[in-house]
Amino acid sequence: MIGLLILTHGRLADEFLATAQAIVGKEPGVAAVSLLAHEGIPQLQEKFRQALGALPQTDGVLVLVDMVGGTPSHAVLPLVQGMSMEVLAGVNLYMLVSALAHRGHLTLSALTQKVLDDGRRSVVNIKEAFLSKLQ
Amino acid sequence: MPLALVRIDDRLIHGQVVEGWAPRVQATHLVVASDQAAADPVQRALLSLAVPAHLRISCCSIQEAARCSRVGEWDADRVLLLFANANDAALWVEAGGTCPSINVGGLHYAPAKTQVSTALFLNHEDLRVFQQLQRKGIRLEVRALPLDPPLDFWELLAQTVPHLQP
Repeated sequence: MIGLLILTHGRLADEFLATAQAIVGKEPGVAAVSLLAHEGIPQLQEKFRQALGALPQTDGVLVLVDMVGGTPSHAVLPLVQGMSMEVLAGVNLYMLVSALAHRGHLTLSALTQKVLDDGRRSVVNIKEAFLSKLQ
Repeated sequence: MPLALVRIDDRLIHGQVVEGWAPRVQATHLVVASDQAAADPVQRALLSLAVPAHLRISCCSIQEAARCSRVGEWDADRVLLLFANANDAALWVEAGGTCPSINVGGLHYAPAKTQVSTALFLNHEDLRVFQQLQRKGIRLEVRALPLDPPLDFWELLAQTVPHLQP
């Protein structure tokens, strides 16, 4: 199974995971790592390594960070070279649910593309979409 | 043109700098002065990730940053100058960099350092370096974001960790 790791500012990662699990059920092979206000990059990298160590590695790991160019993305990118790991920024609940739902039957690269596409599809002006349906 | 802001922050370029400070001080050019970052292609690539297109970004050694300040290399820009730690800022000042004040933004947790505020952890050695900066007449203000109240570095220390001495 592909491991999933969510890495964010504040406690977003924990809450994302808890909320996604409330939707799709509690699953193994998923971890959340939060960058707290007092922590620097070395602490975050250490927490990331520990969380990674507890995940299944055989089929690779998909890492979801909150914001491109933020400290979580800065912390993780130096560690990814040579690893069976993909990293997407801009995690939202839709992407996480998609990742949990599809990781059992896709390869890491296919799952990465799927979650990226779903993420892009999930950012929508829903009022506009709704009104156009009404007409 | 004087520097728009000089900041010490071990996270270097991140949201607080790009979204908070850069627009506030109307920076046009972010400069990371760090020997370590300048010599590391991974770090340099990371720093330019997600910096908006209207901001120029460069990464140089501390000596090079001091040279740029001395010869007026950045005179046409509004430069936001970033250091990863107080020592780098002091080396820049020793090499001829000048500024009236330094924003102490974040020096995050490290073993054997004392917590002063949410994102500020210091040891005796750090204090000695900040003292050097102080002796050069540089005002030190602690502030993560522009809209936070600016705190005088030494007053904050006296209030929160009076036992911590250089």
